[in-house]
Amino acid sequence: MITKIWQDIKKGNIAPVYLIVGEETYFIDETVNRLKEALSGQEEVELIPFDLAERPVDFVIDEADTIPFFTDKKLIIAKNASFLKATEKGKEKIEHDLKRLETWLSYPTDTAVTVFIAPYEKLDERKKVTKLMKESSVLISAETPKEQDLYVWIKLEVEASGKIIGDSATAKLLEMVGANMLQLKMELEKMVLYLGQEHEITEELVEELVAKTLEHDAFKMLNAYLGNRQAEALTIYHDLLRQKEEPIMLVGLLASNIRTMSQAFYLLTKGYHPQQIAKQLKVHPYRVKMILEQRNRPAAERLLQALNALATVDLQLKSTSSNRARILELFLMKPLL
Amino acid sequence: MTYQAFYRVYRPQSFREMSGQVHVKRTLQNALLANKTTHAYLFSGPRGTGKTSTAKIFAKTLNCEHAPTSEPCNECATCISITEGSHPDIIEFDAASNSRVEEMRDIIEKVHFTPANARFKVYIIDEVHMLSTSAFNALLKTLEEPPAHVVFVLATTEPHKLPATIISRCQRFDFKRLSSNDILERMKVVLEDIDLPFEEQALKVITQSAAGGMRDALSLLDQVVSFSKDVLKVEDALFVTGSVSQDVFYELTLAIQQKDVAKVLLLLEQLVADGKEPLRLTEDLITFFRDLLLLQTEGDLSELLELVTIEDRFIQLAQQFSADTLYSFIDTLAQTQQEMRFSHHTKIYLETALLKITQFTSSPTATVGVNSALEEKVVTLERLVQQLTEQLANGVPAQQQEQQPPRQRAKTPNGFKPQTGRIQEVLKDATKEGIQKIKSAWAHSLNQLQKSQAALLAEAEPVAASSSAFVLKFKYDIHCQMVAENRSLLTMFAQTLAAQIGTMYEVLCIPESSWLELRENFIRDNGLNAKKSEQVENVAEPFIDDAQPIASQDPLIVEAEALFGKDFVEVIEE
Repeated sequence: MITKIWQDIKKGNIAPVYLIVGEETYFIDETVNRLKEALSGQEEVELIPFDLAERPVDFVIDEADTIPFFTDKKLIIAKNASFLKATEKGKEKIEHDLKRLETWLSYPTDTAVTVFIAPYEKLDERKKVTKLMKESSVLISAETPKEQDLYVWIKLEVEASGKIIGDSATAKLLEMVGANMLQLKMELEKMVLYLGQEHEITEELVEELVAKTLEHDAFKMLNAYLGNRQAEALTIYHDLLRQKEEPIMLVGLLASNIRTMSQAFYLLTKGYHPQQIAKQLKVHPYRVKMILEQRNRPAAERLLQALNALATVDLQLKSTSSNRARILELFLMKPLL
Repeated sequence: MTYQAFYRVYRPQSFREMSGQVHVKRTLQNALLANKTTHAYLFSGPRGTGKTSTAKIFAKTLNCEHAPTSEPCNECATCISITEGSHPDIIEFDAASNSRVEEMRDIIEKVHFTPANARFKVYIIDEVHMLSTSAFNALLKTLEEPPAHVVFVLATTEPHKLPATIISRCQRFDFKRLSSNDILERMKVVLEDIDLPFEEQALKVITQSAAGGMRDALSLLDQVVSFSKDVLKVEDALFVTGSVSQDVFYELTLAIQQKDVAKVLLLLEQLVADGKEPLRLTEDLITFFRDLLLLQTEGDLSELLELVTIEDRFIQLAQQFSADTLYSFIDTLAQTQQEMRFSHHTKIYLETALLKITQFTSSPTATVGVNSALEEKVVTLERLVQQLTEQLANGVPAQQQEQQPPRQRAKTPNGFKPQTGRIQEVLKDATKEGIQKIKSAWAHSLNQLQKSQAALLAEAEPVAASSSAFVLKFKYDIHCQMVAENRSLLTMFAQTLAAQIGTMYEVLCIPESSWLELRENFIRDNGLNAKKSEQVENVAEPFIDDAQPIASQDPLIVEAEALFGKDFVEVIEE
């Protein structure tokens, strides 16, 4: 898999053409970086980036066929290889000479390393150029790993920088950032820097330092409200207001969360598996997991009651001209009966 | 030198001077020391929490001649020129006023040039959320492949407006709201620096209305200082922040609690006389009651209080009201506020609201009870008045009116219900002359009505008439209902008819569907059958227009009629 390819790169076993498929930016960046490192001797390697959404593929081929000036090899990055996926009508601005690419792929030059990047979930396997490309290049799949793998990956990353991280802190980090390796990496770097001489990334540190997302905050606020922890809900609400979030939007977010919750609980009583629930409700499996993992699950009537109250708040927000932030605040302040 | 506002004079120039944001400071300083800075930072947080200041200090430390260091020396040429804002490699870019792509491209073009005399080129992009979509894309291209000598610092108050692609390329720092203590300490430093004695309470007032923003606090302090003379007093602070002293509200609420109407009104009068706007007062009162509610809530929310400071008397006051009472206070005030917007006499509204609040009993249900009773009474009275006017208008005996109270019809759940009893009575007395008389005057009367009303009656047809009333058949139920409920139209129409034929008729409405059924029943019950009828013509025979087809009881004929319409079916008896 990817680690093996990376090892090969490190050993100097470099193929002339690479194809990276997948949406995880971290893998893409990391592969390019590793190639760059491996190709750079004393001089830094010549790196020529292309954006295939703006330039036809001919430029890439011409560049690859030209002998490099200063270094033995040069590195060519061709981003957004959209001709490999199913065509969206009317969106193709650039005409790519695919015939030429096909012939070129069979005889690539050995003075250049060309990396095609297709940041898409799926390629169109029926296309001739896709088949050819897959045959004649080293394929790297940059898919976002499963949660379990991410868990392990985080620990390894932390250890690589000489620190340690506990299970609960890892879980918290994943919960707050989500499955985005690039962002996870950023947050980890930040925390490692914060630690300086210290050694452990604790849960508190994660809570303090990791940038909060709106969804996460809204979810926490809702749980605090449903759990009758008014003080906590109000504090989060005011934090959100300070980020200039619209009360109307927050009401919408709260309501949609409540809806998903009550639907998920219902499906659970019907004997659905969490995975199936996510599919049925068309929401991210992670959200379903979060909802179902709550320790004290609110009763169905309670949820509907809150939803009803939110509808009233929504109407008030849209019909009053006075302080709008206050209306939702009063709602959050009122304990749910 | 021209006067400089406090928040500019006392802008921190080193990490040490900065209040709060411990985590951000420590992370950045460690990164600077270890030379591990990344090429893009995103600072997000509410205004006045130090984003731009941090960005500048960071730029200075990064390029300081003593680098790597964790603090700028503020002495070397680089530091000084950055503080002055004249360093060529520190590019400050206000995205709010340069949001277009062209402007973005302009600065990005120069990204690839090496810095003139610093180690790094630092781009500080303030209010980055204001950039247009294409400007973001232009920026993104650079963030994806930045040259080694460039650091971007993006600052924004609204991070959710940035595209995810930008956010994921930056190391993001959330700036937290400053605690009241941080702000208080900083203000003390400033006041000691300018050598002005102060009352502690005054600073608290300012802190509260600054709500966690250092710049707000310092600007307010600036105003208060220029307003006060020898000593910084609470009154000055209150005056400048425009907030009414919590003491007044305390007294007002106490008076409300004791149901002392005179005192409540007196206090209000005083406040208004002091030049407080009633609308703003209402808002403040709502806030005050909300603060009391907050005090009732468990958990420490002192940071969220807006008007009240934590004191025993307020906590006691809060305990004396039930949460429901406070909510009803707020509801009443909010409603009043709504009404005030459409009036010039805002003070009267506020007075009324306060009176209402003062009279609130502990159980709000009692007030609702009174209201509904009153409402009912009004409805009955209205009904009575309507009946009387109608009677006056068309001279129908009161007895008949009582038989069919108008409300009964209006309230039927399945739409309109014709007055079957009355119609049957009319049918009994129906005469051919009667209906003919009405028909002759029909078209003319319609013309005299208003267009909209005539349209309602266009599809209607008089079908039977007695000496005092006639039956009006409607093709559609909805028209029938609308006309029947429109008393004034009916009365007017009856009068128009009366003007032509000399008789005041009562109009009885019926939709076609009910009419057919009713007519059939009536004919059957009264043995009115054209074939069998032996009655003499000149004896008053009940006459119903278009009654003839009913004569056919033969199911075959009925079916034929249903198929082709009555006009086309001619029954030939053999």
